[in-house]
Amino acid sequence: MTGAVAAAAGGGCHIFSGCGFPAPGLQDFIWKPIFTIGSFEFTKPMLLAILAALIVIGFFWAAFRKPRLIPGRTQSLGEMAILAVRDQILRPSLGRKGDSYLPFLVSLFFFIYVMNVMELIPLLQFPVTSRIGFVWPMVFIVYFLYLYLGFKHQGAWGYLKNMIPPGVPAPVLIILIPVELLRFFVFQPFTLGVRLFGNMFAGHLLLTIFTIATWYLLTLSVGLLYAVGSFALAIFIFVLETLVTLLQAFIFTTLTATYIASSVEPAH
Amino acid sequence: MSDVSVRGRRDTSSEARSRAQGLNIGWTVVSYLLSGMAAYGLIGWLIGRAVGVSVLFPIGMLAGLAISLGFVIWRYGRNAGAGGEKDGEDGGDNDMETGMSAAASRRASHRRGIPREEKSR
Repeated sequence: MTGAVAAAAGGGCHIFSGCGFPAPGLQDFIWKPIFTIGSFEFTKPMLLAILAALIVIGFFWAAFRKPRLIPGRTQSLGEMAILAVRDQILRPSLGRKGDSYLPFLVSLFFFIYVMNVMELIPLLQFPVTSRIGFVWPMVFIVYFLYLYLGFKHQGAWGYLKNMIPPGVPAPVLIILIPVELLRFFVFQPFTLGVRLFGNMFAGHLLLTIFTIATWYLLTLSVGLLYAVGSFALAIFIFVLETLVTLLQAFIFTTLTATYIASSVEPAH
Repeated sequence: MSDVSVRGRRDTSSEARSRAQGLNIGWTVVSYLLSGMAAYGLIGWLIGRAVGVSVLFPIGMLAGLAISLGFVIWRYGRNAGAGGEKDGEDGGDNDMETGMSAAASRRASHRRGIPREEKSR
């Protein structure tokens, strides 16, 4: 633990005590290593990412280890989770033909969701996806699949041809080529990753600001009134973040499904 | 299964489909705007460096923004506007990738011999 959280956790840092507000910042996203192996440092976000993977694997293993015709509680929950991804994310983009991608999308959705929701769990309280290094590998996997399926289903020439927007006059097309190339290979994957990272980063920062401000203002003075206000805002941000964690996982997976759909079935 | 539940499921499905379409189109538009500025900003910057006119960089960025904005309106805005008037009930149901109206998409699918229902699945 570093930065403002550590300063506040020190205990004595309150308003009128001569201690300035320990404002959270980038330093609160940098963790001291739990252990090191040579130059490799194992930090809390890495531990949480592994934990998230184990939770997802463990839950679905427990749910479908011995599937029954009349499902038990865990199996029912697992089926509900899978059907939610299928009906709300996969089918709207890929239809029934896309059911073979269901395991990938379910894994992706729940892995991102669990990593996000760790922000709200006491003691863990850090969203893994607010470190962009954990987001880029997922974007890379999605984009690699997107390109691979495109080349596989449409062929190299067909795929490049289908990148050209339909019905655009030739002179306009020449102007659009640099825009299309940059969009396809740089900005589309960039926006996919940065949106998830940015939302989780900002959410965690807001939550930290209001939590630390509550502690900082908590004195037997007029500061107590502000502390109550700050606490109310912290609760509001907490509730908002419960929605954001789910929404960001949903958006990432939905966009993945639409990318797969456009590779498998060219729209033009 | 009763009519109500069939209709309910269909409504949820079309709602989910239009939500996915909206997300995809929304972020494609953002990507277009950013890439237009970046592509023509880069071209402007390179030419500016070659001829020693630094103002070509912001001019390139603005031109890129104008190009991508024009293209976005042409590709997405035009069909959405026309769809509502010409296609009646299909007005808002645009094709996910092309932004074509449902009727135009159906005609294109018909020309390629793909039934609309199958294509959309």
